[in-house]
Amino acid sequence: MKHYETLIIIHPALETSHLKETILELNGRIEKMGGHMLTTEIWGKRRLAYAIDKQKFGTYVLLQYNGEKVNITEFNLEAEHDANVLAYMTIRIEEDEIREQKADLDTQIAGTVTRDDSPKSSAKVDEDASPEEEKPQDDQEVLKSTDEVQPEETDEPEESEKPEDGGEPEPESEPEDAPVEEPETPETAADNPEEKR
Amino acid sequence: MAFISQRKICPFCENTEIRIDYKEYKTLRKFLTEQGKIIPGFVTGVCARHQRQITRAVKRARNIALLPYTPDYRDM
Repeated sequence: MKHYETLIIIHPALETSHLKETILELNGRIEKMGGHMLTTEIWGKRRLAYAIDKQKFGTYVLLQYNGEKVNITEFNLEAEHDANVLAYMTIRIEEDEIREQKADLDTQIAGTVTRDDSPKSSAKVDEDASPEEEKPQDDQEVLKSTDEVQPEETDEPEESEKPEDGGEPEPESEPEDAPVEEPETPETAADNPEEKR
Repeated sequence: MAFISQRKICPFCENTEIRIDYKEYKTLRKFLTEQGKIIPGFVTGVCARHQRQITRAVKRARNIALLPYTPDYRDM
């Protein structure tokens, strides 16, 4: 007994009743070709990684079936010429990879069933770490390493406090105090390397 | 003085429960660059056997539009 699965992308314009009709039609074709339907999983409308037939979205449907002599070439040929099918891919799988059908087509189409994209073992891996989550952690680690160096420079918070005390009056007072402040900054800059040493 | 690189352990050899499947595009994305290219095994630490499985799964996922062939420049 050979097990197969076909992942089909259906046109996103089809919804509810039309979607159910097309899926039932596909199931009927598989049974005509000598296959026995095992599971039908509707992933729902997803954004495609690239446009297919000028469509950016598509409804993913996973069909798993088995049989001794299944005419897959004819099934693929009919899918190729079907206007509702954007793309398809048929793969031979092992018996371990067959999923259980959690709900009927109606409930799946309604969207009430939460689907699991991956098996439980790999789902743990996805929950633990994802590339998007790892990136900010790396940045935080870099920031932490730089923060450890920064506290040695004590003059910077003092300089930052000055503008916070009086933001608005400072620009008015700056031209008056400019000749007083300017000699201070080179002194502080000179003091910094001495303090570091 | 000589630089000694720590040998990475293949994550799939370490945890045999994890399956490499083209449908699990979220895990496969970890082995792709920002441009969508497959990262070589000597960089990720994956063994040769599992690297072949990853490439097979990535190419299948690309065929069915779960993963891109080229980078997405929409955000740029």
